[in-house]
Amino acid sequence: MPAGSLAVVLHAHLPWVHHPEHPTFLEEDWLYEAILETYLPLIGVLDGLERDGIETHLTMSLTPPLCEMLACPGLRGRFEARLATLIGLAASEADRLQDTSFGPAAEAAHADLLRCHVLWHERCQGEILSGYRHHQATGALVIVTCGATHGLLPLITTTEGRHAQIAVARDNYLKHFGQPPRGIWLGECAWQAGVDHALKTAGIDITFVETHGVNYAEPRPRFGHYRPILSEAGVFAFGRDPECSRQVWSADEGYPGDFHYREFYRDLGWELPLDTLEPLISDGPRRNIGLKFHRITGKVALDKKEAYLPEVASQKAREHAAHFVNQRILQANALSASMQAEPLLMAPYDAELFGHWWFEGPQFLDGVFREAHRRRDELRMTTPVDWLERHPVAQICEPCPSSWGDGGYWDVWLNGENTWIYNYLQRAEERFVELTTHMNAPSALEERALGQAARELLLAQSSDWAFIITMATTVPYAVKRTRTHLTRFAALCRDLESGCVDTEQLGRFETLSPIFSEINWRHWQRHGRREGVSGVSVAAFD
Amino acid sequence: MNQPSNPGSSSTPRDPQSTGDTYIDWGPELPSEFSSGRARLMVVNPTTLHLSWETAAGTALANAEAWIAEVRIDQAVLKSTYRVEGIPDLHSYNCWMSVEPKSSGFVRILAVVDGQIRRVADLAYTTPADRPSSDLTERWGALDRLGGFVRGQAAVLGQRVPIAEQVSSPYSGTLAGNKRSI
Repeated sequence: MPAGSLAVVLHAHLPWVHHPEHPTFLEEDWLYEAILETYLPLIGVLDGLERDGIETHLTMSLTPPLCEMLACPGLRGRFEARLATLIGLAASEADRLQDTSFGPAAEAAHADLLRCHVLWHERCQGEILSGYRHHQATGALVIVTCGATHGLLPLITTTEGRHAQIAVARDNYLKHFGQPPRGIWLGECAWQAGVDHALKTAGIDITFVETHGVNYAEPRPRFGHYRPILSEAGVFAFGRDPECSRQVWSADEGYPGDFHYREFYRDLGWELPLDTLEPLISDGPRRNIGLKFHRITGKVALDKKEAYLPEVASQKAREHAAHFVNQRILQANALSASMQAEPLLMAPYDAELFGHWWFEGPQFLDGVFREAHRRRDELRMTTPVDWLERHPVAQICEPCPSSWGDGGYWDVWLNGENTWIYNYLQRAEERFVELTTHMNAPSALEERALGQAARELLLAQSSDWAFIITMATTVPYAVKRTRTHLTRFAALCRDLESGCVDTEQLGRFETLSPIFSEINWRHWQRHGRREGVSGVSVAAFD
Repeated sequence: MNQPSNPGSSSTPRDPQSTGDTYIDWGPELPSEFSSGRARLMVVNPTTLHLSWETAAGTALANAEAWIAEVRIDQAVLKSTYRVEGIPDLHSYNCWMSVEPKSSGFVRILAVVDGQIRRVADLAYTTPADRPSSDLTERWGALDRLGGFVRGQAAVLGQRVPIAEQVSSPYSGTLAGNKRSI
């Protein structure tokens, strides 16, 4: 009889980035890298576990923008071209380096890309979501949704705005997966009082919160974050276990920092002659291309990194997986004794950690599920849905407003660098609620304009932009995206309010942001929904 | 991060500026003036609020001589005050305010117009907790097949009620073990 359960939850998200107006666009690389290094390899892991009869219970959130990009014909075409170029480059590097200490790394990189080619073209026929749908149908995987554009619900000012983020997400999930979602990954695990009402309205009763979202709940949960709690509106909140996270996320003591693993920052995109890189870097500066042949080696400068040894790294990943499972068993045994009840260890991670940031991550996950299967008498792999089947009763507590961002609240998205965004977002939200509520029998053209205005508003609400501004990475891009979507939104609202829609402008906006074909602008209408308490109070004055 | 500060003006990143040969495209300009006034109070963390407001161009408030923002716990208790002198042609302001964790109150915005103090807005807030609750009462519940809430009653302080017993009778309204009134 297992002493406890472990639920691994992977949150797969990228903001909507597609620029059909340019033949190539640097920020689209985010998607291509994630497909090659995370999303396809994870399908490979799940396929392998299924083939070998390993019982797998994995939860993944696939956010609506990510699903839309994975299904976008334009982006798929660009990815295929990139994959073909990378395979050619990897093959020539494998030839060039075959008699050097970098030979094994180059050979392995080429083999990995060929595997991705098979997964993409033969396994998924270019449609990655079909791979995930298959594993959901077999019961190995539970897919949950996320807010429509990963909006931070506590900073969305209107009840209608929060409802729309959830409702659009539900509609999108239904489109891609053929059934409504039962669970949701709130953007940044951001919980605020009243959010559960919006979830419940959408038929969602499972979500995930940060550790203190449970531990600081009202009243104090008897079992802390080792059991989900049930909010007053009837939503189960599963709290993150920091011990599971520490061993994987920690820069100092986490597995990914092992010296045998592949070094992320030594990339051929910075080292090969530009003419060799020409097909991949044709539109701007040097950048990562995903071909890396060095290992971390130690706390040494980049130019002192040594050759990556794939077999050694793979062995390390298996060792770390076994260690991780053993640690969870020890943890569950200790908790079970003190709780006198079965503990649940909730282990959520960004999916892109596995493969993109930590190259051996998918191998580690494969090892975790195999080792857990071998020791299934001691530890049960589970999903929140499975857990609730076996433990339907939970303590009624109101989760504490919280997020998994730095500081545990909203500081990352609300600071001196990015507060200006909310002046405009709040006004835009308010304007759209008024516009949609009073819209009466719109024409077909007005329907299109309303739908596109909804898209622009949602895209402006993406929490990624405020996050990027705080992290000071691609700040101009994030600012430009925010301004652009708000400007387009305002232009469409002016047209609708004046009763004269600019058809050419509308068509251009639709082409530039072809997301959420199924969007329903009526989600923003005021229907007298129960007002929750958001983290924002607004007042109008003359 | 987010230490209480003197009120200052909001600003958006400025328009593209060339740095040597590098042109940075920040995207289209957003409006710097508004047709109506708005104030918004946002909770940042258990001890910090962010207050921002914009006036409508051409209104009396747009020419206010000074602005005052007060954190109040109730009508009588004034916690703290922030003051900014009016700046001509500036239509937006913001400030960070210190409060207590797990507290509720409101922020009152006042403007000095033609020497008179005018109340502009009251904005409520509730800050989250920064530590576990001292409330140890317990209620347990489950969802029925239609997602409806089914509550059991259990208030056991210092007495452990085995989970198995609760699972076996979540809908009866009482649970095994000692009970006390909630």
